[in-house]
Amino acid sequence: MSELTNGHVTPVIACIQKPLLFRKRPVAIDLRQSSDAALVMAIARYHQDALAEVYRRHGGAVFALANRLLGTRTIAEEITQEIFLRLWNVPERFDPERGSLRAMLLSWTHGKSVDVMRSDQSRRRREERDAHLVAEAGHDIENEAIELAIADQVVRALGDLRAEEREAIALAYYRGLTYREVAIELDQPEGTVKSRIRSGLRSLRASLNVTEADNELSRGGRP
Amino acid sequence: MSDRWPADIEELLAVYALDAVDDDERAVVDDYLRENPRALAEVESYREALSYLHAGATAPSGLWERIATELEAAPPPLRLDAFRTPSAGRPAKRRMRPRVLAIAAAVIAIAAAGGVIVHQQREIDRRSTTSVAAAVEREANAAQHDPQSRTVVLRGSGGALTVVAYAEPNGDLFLDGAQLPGLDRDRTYQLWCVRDAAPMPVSLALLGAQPTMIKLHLESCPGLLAITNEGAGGAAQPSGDPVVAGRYV
Repeated sequence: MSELTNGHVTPVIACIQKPLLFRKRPVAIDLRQSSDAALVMAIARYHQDALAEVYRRHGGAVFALANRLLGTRTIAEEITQEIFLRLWNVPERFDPERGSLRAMLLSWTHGKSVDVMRSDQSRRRREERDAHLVAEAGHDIENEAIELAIADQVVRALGDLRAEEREAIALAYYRGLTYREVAIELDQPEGTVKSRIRSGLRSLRASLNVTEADNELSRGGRP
Repeated sequence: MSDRWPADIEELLAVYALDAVDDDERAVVDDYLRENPRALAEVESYREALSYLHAGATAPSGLWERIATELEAAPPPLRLDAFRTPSAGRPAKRRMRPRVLAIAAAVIAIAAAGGVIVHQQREIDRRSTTSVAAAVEREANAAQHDPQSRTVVLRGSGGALTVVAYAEPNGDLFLDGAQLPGLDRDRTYQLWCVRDAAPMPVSLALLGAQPTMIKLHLESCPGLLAITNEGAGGAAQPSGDPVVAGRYV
């Protein structure tokens, strides 16, 4: 079975065995070669090594997002732990026809982090920190993305967005503001903010050619 | 139900994908997405694009060990309260669901029970000189050696109780109930398929008070299989938490 040290799983060969009563022959599976969908199937059968491999592939991104949003390593670790336990408990929530596993995990992470951010105490801390950051660099999703070491292709896609689209998305996504709060922050009508976010996400989606890239992702091909 | 027009809700999809809506709006969009696969696909595509904004990071060392410890300490969640009790604040239409589900469950249960009974009658006809139980045991034995069969493990909340089932590609399910403790004669074990927190009875033929190897036909149950302890006549909805449960996907 696998051992995971410093975020890496070694070795990657695991044996899925039927219970003793019915056991005939173990089935060897190379988890590193398995698609995300196959890993989730194995998780549904309580295959812990499969969850370890999912963690190896996506745990860093989950933690980085939570840490970026909350700015508190301890809480980010708690959220990361919660997200992977959730996958363990409800793997049937993943539908490979609807999107990648990574997108689902990050969506869970963002939702949970935003819930935490919107609690009063956390919010105060975050607003103090964000006020400091804004004073230094302003709201710029490209800077946010570069901090997270994303691919050049994504940086270019972000560069294609109009400045007002980037600004509205960054405030909503990285600061956890509702679109109404974004409207107040930018002193713009709510409808305008909704439109900017929608057009920005559509542009981002088109630039990244999401559908084709997903196939790479589902094979664990994301950097 | 929401008094918003669909066009209004459509305008919220992008901000919803960013979690940039308030709780009331989120509930409205959640309801809308349940009935609108195209809108759901749109939201998923936004989330897919957003997922590209995060890459290359390494998970903190030591965190996996904590997660693994949690996995060992916490057996799978078995409580079914979530689907027995409608959540607070649901729209009025949603509050009707338990009753509608119960009726639908009863209809499906009767149909399923009929299917099982007919199936078993055919077994009896075909094997007039052999008991159905022995025949089922032989088929189960073949299924366990079939490399295409899938193993479904149902576990109790304490982790000590385990029931194993084998699912053949044709939908035949062999469930070894011998591990379940015997019940009083006025009780029976009942099998449920739980999807999205909604339990549907797999069979009102039930598993009996002292089940052994059981053969059922289950085309699909994309979620949880659960066994509860019910009155001898069975139930349209579970009356208590599962004795054992496990994933069937």
